[in-house]
Amino acid sequence: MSFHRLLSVALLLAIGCSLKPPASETLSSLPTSVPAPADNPTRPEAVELGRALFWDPILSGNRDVACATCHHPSFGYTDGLAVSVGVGGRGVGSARAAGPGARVARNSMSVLGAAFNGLTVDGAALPEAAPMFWDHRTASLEAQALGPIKNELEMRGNAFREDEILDELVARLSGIPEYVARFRAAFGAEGVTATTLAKAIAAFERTLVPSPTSFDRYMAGDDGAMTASQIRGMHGFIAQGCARCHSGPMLSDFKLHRLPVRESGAPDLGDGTGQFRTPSLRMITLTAPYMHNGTVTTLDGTIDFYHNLEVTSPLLEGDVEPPLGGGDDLRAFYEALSDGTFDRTIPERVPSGLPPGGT
Amino acid sequence: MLRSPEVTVRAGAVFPMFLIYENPGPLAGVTLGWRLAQRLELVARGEAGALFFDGIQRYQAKLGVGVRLMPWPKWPVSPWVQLGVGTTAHAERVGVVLPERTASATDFGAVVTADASLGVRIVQRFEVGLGWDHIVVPWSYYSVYMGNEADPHRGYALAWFGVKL
Repeated sequence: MSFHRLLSVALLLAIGCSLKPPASETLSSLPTSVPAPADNPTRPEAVELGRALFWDPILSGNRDVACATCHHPSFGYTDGLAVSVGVGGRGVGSARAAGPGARVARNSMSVLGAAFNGLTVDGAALPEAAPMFWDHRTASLEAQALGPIKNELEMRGNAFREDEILDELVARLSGIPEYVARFRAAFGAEGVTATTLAKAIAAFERTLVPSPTSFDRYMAGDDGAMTASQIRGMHGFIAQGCARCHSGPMLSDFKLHRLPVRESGAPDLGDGTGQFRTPSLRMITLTAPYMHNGTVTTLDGTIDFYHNLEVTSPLLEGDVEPPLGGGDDLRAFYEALSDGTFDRTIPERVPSGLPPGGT
Repeated sequence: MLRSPEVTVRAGAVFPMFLIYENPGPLAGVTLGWRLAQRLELVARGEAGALFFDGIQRYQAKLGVGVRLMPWPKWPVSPWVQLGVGTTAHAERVGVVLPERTASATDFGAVVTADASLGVRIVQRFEVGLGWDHIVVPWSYYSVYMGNEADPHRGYALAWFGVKL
């Protein structure tokens, strides 16, 4: 038997002995290009305007909270807290948790890779329909960008009504010549409107995509990009059922599920039926705490959560079992999903002259 | 001075209870027994087994020593108990077929086990046994994971039928 024939037989045997998950439970790398809607292509003028707006607390009712307050690069574009602290808060991270301010009921989702929300296992994406928030209450980054701005606890405060705040912000921005010029450069005659405000922020957020991780590089053919431990962790992740929901390029099926997550306060019914989105596991080591209400403080806690989970109701999901003794391998796999580099720029100033990121 | 040993060849199944494994696999082995006293034997065991589970294969081989107590050695059906220690080496391959490529990794390692088994010898020739090999020194300890689940100190059960040569 020739060497090539032997090799072919060996490969056939090896593949025959490999786990082949169904298409709905498989994993893959991220596309190299970021999808954008036809009416909001990702142009540099819009991106840089969006960056300024993302960091400018002028978008909050009391001029004290910016998008970046709860989506800060130091915490993987989350806030590092169990639940976010909105209007009236001070500082970022643990300092913010210790201080005053309105407690938002939910954990801040990372903006990193949010441009790929809704990406299916076969790589298809429709940015106009990309599901947003833990409960999928809006679709598209453009629609999402206005959500926290209009929310009383997150950014609006109580100085303005929900139906007033966007007009107020357009008036504020129109009074700052630098913003007027930058909106004109980005959107032409359309100028400063609530729509262009949302488009600019969304355009910036579409640039917050990490560079290829070890997982992506391994998928692209770099055999040395993942360690044996990481591959064992990935195998266990799929074999034991985690990929039933954490599937596809984003390791999320972008569907709503109901898990018996411990309540942290008043019951949160999510979409109305107690369901919440499967979060992406991209950059997962940077985005603790976990679950929609941040009740699981560490990544190890999430592994233990599933170990201890007893699914006794047909309404509940999450019946998976992380590999016994595979904690280190799972953690290693999570590292392979989280080692991409990303834009950590904190602007020195924003056009309003307010402190970038809020007070 | 030890006399030449009794040689028993064994075949059976290994039932893993560690890592991801859930399915029993085949087992083949040999036991050498040296009579130390009327009711006591020094035993050396060697065996090989294979484990398979959803794209993961582990081939393992064990060498161990122990003592076997036979309270009624002359009975036609003679029960025995055995305690011992050993080392089990393994080669393990995992593979996953993904849309972009087949991901695979091969790992080698060894664990130290303490074992207990019991069985019967039938008409001085045949043997049926059940055992538990407990992993007392695993191949790796957690260095990153600090949760409280997934204890690596588990082991595997064995069941076999043997024939004295």
